[in-house]
Amino acid sequence: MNDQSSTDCTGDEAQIDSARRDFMLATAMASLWGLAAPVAAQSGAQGAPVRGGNLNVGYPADPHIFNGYVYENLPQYPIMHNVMSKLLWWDAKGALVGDLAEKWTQSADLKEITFSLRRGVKWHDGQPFSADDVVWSLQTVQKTPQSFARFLAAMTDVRALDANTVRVTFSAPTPATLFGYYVGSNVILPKHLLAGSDLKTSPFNTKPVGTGPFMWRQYTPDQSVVLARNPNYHGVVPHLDTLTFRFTPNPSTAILQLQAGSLDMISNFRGLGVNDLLTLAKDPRFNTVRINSSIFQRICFNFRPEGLAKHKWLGDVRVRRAIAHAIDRETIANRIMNGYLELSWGPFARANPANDPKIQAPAFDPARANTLLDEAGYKRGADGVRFTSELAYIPYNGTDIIAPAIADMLGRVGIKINLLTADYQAYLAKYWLGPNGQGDVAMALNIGVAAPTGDDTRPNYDSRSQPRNNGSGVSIPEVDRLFDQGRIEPDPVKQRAIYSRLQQILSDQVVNVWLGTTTAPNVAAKRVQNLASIGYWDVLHRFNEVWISA
Amino acid sequence: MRARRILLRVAGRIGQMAVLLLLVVLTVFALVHMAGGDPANLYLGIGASAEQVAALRSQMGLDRPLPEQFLRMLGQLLRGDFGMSLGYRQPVADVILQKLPATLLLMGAGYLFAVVVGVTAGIIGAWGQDTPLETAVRVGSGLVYAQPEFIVGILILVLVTAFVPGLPIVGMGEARAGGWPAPGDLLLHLIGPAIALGITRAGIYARMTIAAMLSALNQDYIVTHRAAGFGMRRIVLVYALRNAMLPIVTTIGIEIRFLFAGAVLTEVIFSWPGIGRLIFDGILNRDAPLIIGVFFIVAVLTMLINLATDLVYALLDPRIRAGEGIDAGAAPQ
Repeated sequence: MNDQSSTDCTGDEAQIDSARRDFMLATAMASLWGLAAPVAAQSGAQGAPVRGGNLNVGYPADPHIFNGYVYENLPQYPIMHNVMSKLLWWDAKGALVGDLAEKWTQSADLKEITFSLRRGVKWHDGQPFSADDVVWSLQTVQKTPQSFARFLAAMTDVRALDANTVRVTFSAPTPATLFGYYVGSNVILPKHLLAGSDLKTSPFNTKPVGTGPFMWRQYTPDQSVVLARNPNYHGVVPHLDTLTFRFTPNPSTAILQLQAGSLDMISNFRGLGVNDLLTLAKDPRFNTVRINSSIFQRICFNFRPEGLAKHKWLGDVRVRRAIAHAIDRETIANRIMNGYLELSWGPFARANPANDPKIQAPAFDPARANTLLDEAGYKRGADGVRFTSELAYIPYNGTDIIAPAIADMLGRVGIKINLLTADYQAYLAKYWLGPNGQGDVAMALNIGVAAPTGDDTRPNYDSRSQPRNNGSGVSIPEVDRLFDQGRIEPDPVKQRAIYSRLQQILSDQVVNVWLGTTTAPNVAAKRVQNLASIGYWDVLHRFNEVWISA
Repeated sequence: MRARRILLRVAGRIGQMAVLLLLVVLTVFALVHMAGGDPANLYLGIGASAEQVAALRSQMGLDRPLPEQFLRMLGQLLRGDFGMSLGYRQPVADVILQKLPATLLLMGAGYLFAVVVGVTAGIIGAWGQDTPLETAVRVGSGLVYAQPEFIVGILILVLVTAFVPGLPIVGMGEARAGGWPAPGDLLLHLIGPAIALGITRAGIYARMTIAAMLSALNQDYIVTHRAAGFGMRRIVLVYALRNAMLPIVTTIGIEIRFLFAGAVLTEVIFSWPGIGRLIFDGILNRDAPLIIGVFFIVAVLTMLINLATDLVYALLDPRIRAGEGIDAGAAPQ
């Protein structure tokens, strides 16, 4: 998984809306979604595809830079995945498939990957794509500070064996899946346009040339990006003539524009409130597609030295378990979030193949919580309070209604919670990373990455990760070892067993109180067809198979 | 002699502006740092390692003591160097110059709407002194004055969605070569945000105008004019309005600073690509060079407008024009 999106409890998503600002997800159908393809209200295509038209997509943020090698952020991905290609891709059914690579093979020791590239692929400017572009791209991105560079840290050699074959060599076993991770920096860039130029100041950053289904037509800063059909696309040639992302940072404005017909669809708005989502879901003019989310909502405990020093209880698993017993996750998911949160327990999203559904969350049991807290020595005082603690959160993605509920639930078992809230940057500085020694907050309600693969979640729990990835300071040697094993285990059955063991350890230790995944649904007018084709996971979106009915 | 007085006055005001600018920059600098956040995070992205962040912080001078950082930034500003925007990866001056025209256009339109609607309503109210017309203007202006820009903005969007669903009022229109939309398209998109931005001010101007006009209409010279047989239209529009204009112009000049503030929310609601959204995004991202640059430019513009207001005020008031009571009669700053 990408380090970008695997940031642990740092609220990276908040930038979408910047922040920015989004949405996530559902209840009656909760048992269905997540295990299969994207769950849609009525997302199936009707009739034969119709060619032509423009799709106006309301989008929460303008990334300003459209080159993941220079700067990568989540708002960039859904746009850039329509313009650029990677070597590998996750299809709409959640399978890892070739993108620019037609096929790939790995050596037995997993230290060598050979990609056979598609033939006849052309860049949007008409120049032929070749192995040289792949070699130049991997060599270039490895020198950048972007997330994919860290995954390529073990790359010792990349060379073109011929015009259509590339061999990548690593000093350590490396899974091929990372070439399909949804970071913005593992796309392949055109060597003929960028070699020898200063990437940071290149005009390419606001006028990219790719090999993806859509070609860059026009960018109007803070207003829109217009993409046009790539008739030479190596996959399914887009049905749409043009695809327009309209930057609409205010969610209310986006909804009103959708209702007015000025937008055909809104996508990746994590800032939408639950009531907004319910209103749109009930509106017969629209279809809502709930795409599997890779984003977890969870309570993180601060295991870093400054956290443990200030809050002794953090080191006692009985207290952490009591907190898990005290929180009514069903109520949060189904009544507070009205189904726009899919319950799951453990570091992996329910749709992640690494997830072991047999490992269950501690049941909601306030009596058990009280017993555990008593046993841990935290007796109630005269005022009924056992101890006071803090829960920090960014008011975003439902946390603004979940956090007070958690405070109330914990209050009932005698844990008084002071809620601390801040915007993304202040949250990082004051509560989480704490460069000035302020990062001693006990708990944080925030996001973590839980998909698409087991390895994607590794930075959140691996003690060797950067502090900002493993922000809560989880350090369990056995977990580190299992992540290493799972990453390179070629046998899916054995790999699942490894991840199951890992999940059990993290669950036993209650390193988080995982609530579940929330996702940003795509809401579109009914004339927009084949929404389910957009992608299996959030953020990994391509619109080439979408069409607008007559 | 009069020209010398005016020159001295302008020179004095420029001196005050320099001090005020220094205070503005210092305040914004302090606020950005007090708010928390690390610009290096924005520049590198969250995939960067702690070592890379530390190296960039050192390169950007963020590891230096705050007074040193401030003095260095001040030196850059004095040389006209606003630095690089961390989010846009462009010189701050270039980013501001790209966005400023859109905001000035929006402010101009909002201002025009506010002045025309507000002053006209005020005149009508005064004309209908002691009638339901005066009451209607007073109540109406009070109602709109009480509405924040973002409420009015959302309300306009809701009304347009309900009654004119095809009317495009979000954004600035389809950009053509050169980056601007066709004039008709631009005008259509300008109406909603301009009304949202200007309507609160219109309420204030209406109340100011009606008060000033009624005061003027009750002066002895107006009574004399009436007795002399002058028509009401001439009395109101020529004699009363001219004398009532002084406080109105002063208020309008002072009020322009609030238009900048209102533009932030209005631009976010209507996706108008101007300075307001720059401030909004800059603050969320802790893009310190951009925030300081924008506030610096906005402060300079506001002060220049205030200076212009002062001069217009002087021109309108014969006592000041004649050199009497300059200090006593100067517009509040």
